[in-house]
Amino acid sequence: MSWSEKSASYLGLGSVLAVALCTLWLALAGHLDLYINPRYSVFTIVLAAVAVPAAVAGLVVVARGHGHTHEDEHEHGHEDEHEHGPRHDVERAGRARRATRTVLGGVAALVTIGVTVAMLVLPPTTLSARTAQQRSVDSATLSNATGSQNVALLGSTNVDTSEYGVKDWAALIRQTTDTSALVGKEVRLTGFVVPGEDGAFTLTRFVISCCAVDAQPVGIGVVTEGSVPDEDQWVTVTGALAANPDQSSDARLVIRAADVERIDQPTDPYEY
Amino acid sequence: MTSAPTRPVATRSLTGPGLVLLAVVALLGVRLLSPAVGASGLPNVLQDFLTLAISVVVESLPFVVLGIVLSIVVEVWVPVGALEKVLPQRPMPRRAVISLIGMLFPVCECGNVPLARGLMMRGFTPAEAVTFLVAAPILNPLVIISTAQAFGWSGWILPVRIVGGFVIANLVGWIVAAHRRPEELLLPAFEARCRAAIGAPRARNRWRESAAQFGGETATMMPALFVGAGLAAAIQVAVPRSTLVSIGANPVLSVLAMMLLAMTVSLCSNVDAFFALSFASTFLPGSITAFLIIGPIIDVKMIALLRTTFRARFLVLLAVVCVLFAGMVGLVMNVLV
Repeated sequence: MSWSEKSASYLGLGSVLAVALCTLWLALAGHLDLYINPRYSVFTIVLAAVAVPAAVAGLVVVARGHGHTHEDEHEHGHEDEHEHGPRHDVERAGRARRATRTVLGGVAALVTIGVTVAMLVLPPTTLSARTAQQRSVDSATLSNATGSQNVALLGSTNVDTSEYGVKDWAALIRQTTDTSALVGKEVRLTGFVVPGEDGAFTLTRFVISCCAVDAQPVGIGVVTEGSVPDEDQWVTVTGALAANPDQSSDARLVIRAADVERIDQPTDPYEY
Repeated sequence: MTSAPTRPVATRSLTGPGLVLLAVVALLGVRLLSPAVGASGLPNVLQDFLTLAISVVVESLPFVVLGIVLSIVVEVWVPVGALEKVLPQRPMPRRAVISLIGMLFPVCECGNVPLARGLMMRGFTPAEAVTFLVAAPILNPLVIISTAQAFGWSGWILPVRIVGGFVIANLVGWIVAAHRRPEELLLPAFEARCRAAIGAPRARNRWRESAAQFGGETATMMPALFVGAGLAAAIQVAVPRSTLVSIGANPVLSVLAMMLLAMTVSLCSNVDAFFALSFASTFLPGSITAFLIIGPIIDVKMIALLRTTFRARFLVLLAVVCVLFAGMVGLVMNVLV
């Protein structure tokens, strides 16, 4: 095998090894849920544990020269068989194609190394309020995964809402037709701040069904007498549901905050 | 490439993996010493891009590894002729059975690329491998279960997804089989490798062959996976999702919007049903079904992965056929259901 064939294998195996080890570290440190839904943790951990010895074995075999020829290297020739035309044109086209492929391969290698290094060196973190805004916190896209029977029962006040998260309340507020049943309900919710207009902000959480790519922001409007915290600040809001002073909004209820407590980011920043 | 060259094992030959291991260990050391979580001071755009790209890689890697392991099993460990014996001989029923093989493999789309490569190196025709490639991510036990969990056994979404996946796979397989020279749809280098692999004597040391295969497949798949993840993340950061989502109620536009969303989000087919569920209240069922049919077959991550094996002309063909099919199914459902 040539040097470039080997380096392609080293890149592939090295990135597998790095990502698998980092996955295992994330799992040990309890931060795997920053990237994926805990539902898939076990599967991910098991396959990461398989990948580590496989990658090491691959490295050893490739180093000893038993590896497979990487495909990109001897591509020309076959491709040119079907070309008709002056010989030098064919050659020039082949050269141009090889050059393009080399550049693309280089870019792919750079992306691979860059993302792998970023994954290992930068501390894992949550998505920011910027993404929440861009994915429209206020749109009524999220259907209720907690079951709509709760809405009907709420009037009877027997339902225990103390375990409800931002997702549950946001879904409830969107679904219910009789908002008067909810006005005055005491809530205590934690989320981060997406700023709104004068004295209002949206208390937001991301909901993850698979991994961070599908993160869907959910939020409840908060009206406060005090100062609005900074964007991305995590807060615990205590207050009661009230009619939304902004009549034009889709959401007809907001939280009238009695207290907005600034807190550190919780260990489980996402809802599922 | 199965037999060992006679070159002696010099210590020099171990410097390569030594350096790779050293780099990985050094980076892990940085990871262990620096704070576990927190802001790195990067601008939000860049930080979110990295978080999204890494999450795609973390989510996809297990499936890619599983796919490579299964492809090694198919190529190196399953005896010659064992798989071929149980398949029908005539092309159409043969492809129909192959499209159902996915039921046995809980692998989503990214793992199916290495698996389909393994099948072709075993001697399957491109048409058969493509049929498997399109069918398996939809007709697979985990996908069916997760779709059922999300949407229930009743309703049209689950049956239309399953039947639609079967039909589109055999349709694409039939088109490829009808192609003048199907092998022209493959990258020449991969085709050459298949030609060399088919009929070659099986390796004596199967474990070493397996490890070598793992190295070769990761060399091809990993850069593609990272590029796919980077593209998916870049699109997520650059294009506001709200513009797509705001057209949910229109029966025609909402199908297009959901297909576009599926192609840009690049979710794994094992879990895309739960994501689609979050749009169920605003989008019509046909649009959701179009999302669930197109997503496993073609998206930006898959395009990067498929480019390791297929020429661009095949990707164009696949995209056009699948978009037309999924769009038609979605529209018909929106109108009828």
